[in-house]
Amino acid sequence: MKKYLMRKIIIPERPWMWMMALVLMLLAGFAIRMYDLTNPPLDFAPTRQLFSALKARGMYYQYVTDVPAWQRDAAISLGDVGNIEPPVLETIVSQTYRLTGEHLWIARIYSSLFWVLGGLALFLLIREFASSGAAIIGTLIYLFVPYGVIASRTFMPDPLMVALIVFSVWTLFRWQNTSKWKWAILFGICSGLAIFVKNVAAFIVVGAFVGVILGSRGLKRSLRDPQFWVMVVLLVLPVAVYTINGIVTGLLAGQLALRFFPRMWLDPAFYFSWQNLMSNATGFGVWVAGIVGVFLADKRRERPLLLGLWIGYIALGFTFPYHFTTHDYYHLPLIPIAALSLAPLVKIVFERFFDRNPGLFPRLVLVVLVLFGVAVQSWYARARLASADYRSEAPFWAAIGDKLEHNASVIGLTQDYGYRLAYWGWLGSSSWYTSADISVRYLAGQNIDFAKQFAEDTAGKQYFLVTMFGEFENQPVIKDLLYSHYPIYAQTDEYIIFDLQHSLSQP
Amino acid sequence: MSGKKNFMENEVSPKLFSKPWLMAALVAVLFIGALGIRLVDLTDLPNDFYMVRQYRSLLIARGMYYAHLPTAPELKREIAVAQWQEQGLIEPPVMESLVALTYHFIGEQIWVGRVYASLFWLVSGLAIWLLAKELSMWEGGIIALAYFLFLPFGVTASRAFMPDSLMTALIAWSLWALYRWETRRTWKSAILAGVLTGLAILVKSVAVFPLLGAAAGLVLSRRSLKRMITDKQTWAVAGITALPTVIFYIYGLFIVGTLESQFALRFFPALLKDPTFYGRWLFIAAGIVSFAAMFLSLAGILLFRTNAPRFLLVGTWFGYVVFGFAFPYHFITHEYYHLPLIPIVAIGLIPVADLLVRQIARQKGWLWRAVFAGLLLFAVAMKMWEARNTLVTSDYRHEIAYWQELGQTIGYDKKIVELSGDYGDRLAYFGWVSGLLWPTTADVAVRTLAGQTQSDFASIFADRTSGKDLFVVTTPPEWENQPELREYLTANYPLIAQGDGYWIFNLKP
Repeated sequence: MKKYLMRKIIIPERPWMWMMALVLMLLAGFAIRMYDLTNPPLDFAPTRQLFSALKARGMYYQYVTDVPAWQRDAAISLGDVGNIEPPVLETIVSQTYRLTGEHLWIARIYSSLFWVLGGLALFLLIREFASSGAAIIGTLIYLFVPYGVIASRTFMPDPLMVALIVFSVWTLFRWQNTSKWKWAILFGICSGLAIFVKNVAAFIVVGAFVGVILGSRGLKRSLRDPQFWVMVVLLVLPVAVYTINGIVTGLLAGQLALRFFPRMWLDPAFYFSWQNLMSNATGFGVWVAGIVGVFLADKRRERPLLLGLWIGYIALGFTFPYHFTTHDYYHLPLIPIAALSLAPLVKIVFERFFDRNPGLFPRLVLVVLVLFGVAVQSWYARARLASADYRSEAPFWAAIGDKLEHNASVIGLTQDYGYRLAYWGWLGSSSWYTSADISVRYLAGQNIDFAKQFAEDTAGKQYFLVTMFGEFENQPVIKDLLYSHYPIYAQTDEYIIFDLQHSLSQP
Repeated sequence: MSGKKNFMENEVSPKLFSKPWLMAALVAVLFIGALGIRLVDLTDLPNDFYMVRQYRSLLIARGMYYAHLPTAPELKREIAVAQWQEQGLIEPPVMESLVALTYHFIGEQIWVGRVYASLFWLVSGLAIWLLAKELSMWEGGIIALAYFLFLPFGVTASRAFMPDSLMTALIAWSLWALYRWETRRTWKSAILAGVLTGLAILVKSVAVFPLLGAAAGLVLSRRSLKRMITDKQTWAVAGITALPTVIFYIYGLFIVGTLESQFALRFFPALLKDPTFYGRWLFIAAGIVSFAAMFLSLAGILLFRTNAPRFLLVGTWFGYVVFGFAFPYHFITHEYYHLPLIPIVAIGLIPVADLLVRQIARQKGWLWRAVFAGLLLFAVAMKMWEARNTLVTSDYRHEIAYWQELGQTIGYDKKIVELSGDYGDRLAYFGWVSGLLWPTTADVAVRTLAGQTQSDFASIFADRTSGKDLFVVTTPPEWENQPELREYLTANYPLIAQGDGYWIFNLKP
């Protein structure tokens, strides 16, 4: 029956047609990500994006000689924002700044490019996994799902990480099917790089690897296979070196704090929130159909890989329950996982479709339908991108920075932990707790004595800057403390600066 | 050829559940869940979904009830009946009559309409499943059924006291009956199709669009002009379908004469030239039925085995599109105008779901079936949770006392002009006070869109307030949006009462 389907039912394989479709998809996927390119990156996880922006600027200014000394020093100092992951993207961007000058949108181009290249790997993977038709659908989902469009153009390591995960899975599948050294080494490199870029990728790539080893290759056989050991070493090596170095030098201190909240596992709301964010990332229908696809996949060839990916993703959620339900970008790897998992289902639907509709017209209808779907998704993404213009942020923060002469000692209740002030206002600040910070500390069993904490945090500070008025209202103790004991140094509709050095009375 | 033979054989062989009671149990769980989620927050006021339309039905039902309630105080009966009569005739008050009748047994309860609407929707789920059975895809139909019953927008909309739930139910049953007639071609099935289709259109006339499209699609699927024209059953179905609505329109237009106003401010051809109209249409429709489901459903059309269901579904889609062109303004401002799309999409999902279920049924062992059932119930649970969260977000019960007090403050015998955000419905229903409405900015906008010119403020004011005792404002946003009215009232008439969100001016100081 398979031969019959291949010969008679499925569209005759015309490599140039698939190639053309792939190129068009990738180009369109890249183009939609270039929309509103120069808008500041505050549309998605702004704190994380500004973190990278500050870091990249700090790296760049080490090479800049034609700026005032204070500015160079400030850039380098403000760029020292700590370490979460190796600054791979930041390094690439800062080196590009040396050629083009500092432009925040350069990171957007790199991230988009990485994501779109991941689309290439996904297409090749699904084509081998299921069929060319399924590869088209899977790649279109990966490239045009609105959440993915927005999240994949951010100045964060995640788009690169996801792209490397996709490359890892593709090379792993190739290795599974060919047992060639080339694919073993490529998997080791890609997966090692993915984990190096952002270590949470380990859950997904290790999950896929374990799935293939246990379900497809066999554990005994694998343990005797030198290719297996080379893959393991390459997978572990980069992140092991980075982590050991980080521990020895103390660069990674504090990264494991406030991350693990097993108590949340017992709360049903955790699972509903998780589900909501999955639906937000791919759409409810897509991920549910993806799970169905796992059960339709070939038992030995396809299913182990898919199960490994899903188990890895689920393990990631259980390990970081708080982040999984508060940071939607933790679900980015779900997009390629769901797109790949859909492939067996799409393959079956297409087989049936071509069986029942052998003529050209129904195929044209199908093509129009798919194009219509892509157009709608792109329109959604475009509408979301166009919904906000953040260009006024830069002058606003620059004005505050000027007012405080870029050297004042400031604590603030300001957006993104003071990163906006740091980036556009060229002024560092320490940040007072937001409601979310307080919640996460309560969740971790910590209690905050506000008056005491306020005294400690404001000691030696000159100003308390408030730009988040909602937060200010939510913290009446602090609001009352500031208004009753400190004079206002400057105030507009958009900010209040309290003078902490000339208190009206002792707090 | 052998490959083809195998493929076709596979279409009828596997069964998802070897024991029929398992399938019955799964369906029963779906229906019980669907009813349960619709009964969440049952006694809350119907402010969560197009409250103007729901309070209109409540006023009609109460008026009908009080008209035949001998124990009701005379004043209340007079007011209730008057408020009923003030509601223009839009469609036959089928739901309202049913609810009024129920009031006679259990007393006036605001949630009765909600229960009936929910039950109608549930029963239409049965029609979708039976249609899947007619298509020999009944096991796949269970997914379409789950989609239809648990789509979050559907959950919210289907418990509203409006004719739309009943209309959607009758659309689903009509589609089932029309398809059944096409496959059986008996006089009994033809009459059933005609009766159900006629009832659907009678309950709400806009049902004509998808149903006419479906019927036309089925007739066209015969691909013989001669058969189409000479078929007596086709003419009989057309006649039976048209009869109730024709009678109702003759009654409404020529006997009562109030139906004419319903044709005003409905057709806005200028919108059809605006590209954003189509974008908004698409966004609203996809937002309601979910984009993935819409896409799969459209693809599903090409997965049916025969032409009849394909043409039926293409016809309903065509009818839905024509419906949008006929009522462009309502299509992008009234989400519930898209309700007929839910059964249409659900039916399109049947062949896709059937394909999936067949693949699962081919697997050996019980694990697959258990996983399928588990996944289905998990998806249903997630959607129920989403719907539940929407339903319990707000509690409107406290409003009753507010409107009752306002009604007392105004006085039941006063003649008033009202600037209201809900066409005065809550004041009428809970406060027992009705008045002439002062146009809101939205009213003015829609009239402007229709090309109507507005009279000057002074003449409108003089016209509306003539013979009235009080001017009552119950909408702070509109009060802000109409500075001319605000200044004029404040300057010329004494403010005799003011409270949280209302202002009362004495027009006869």
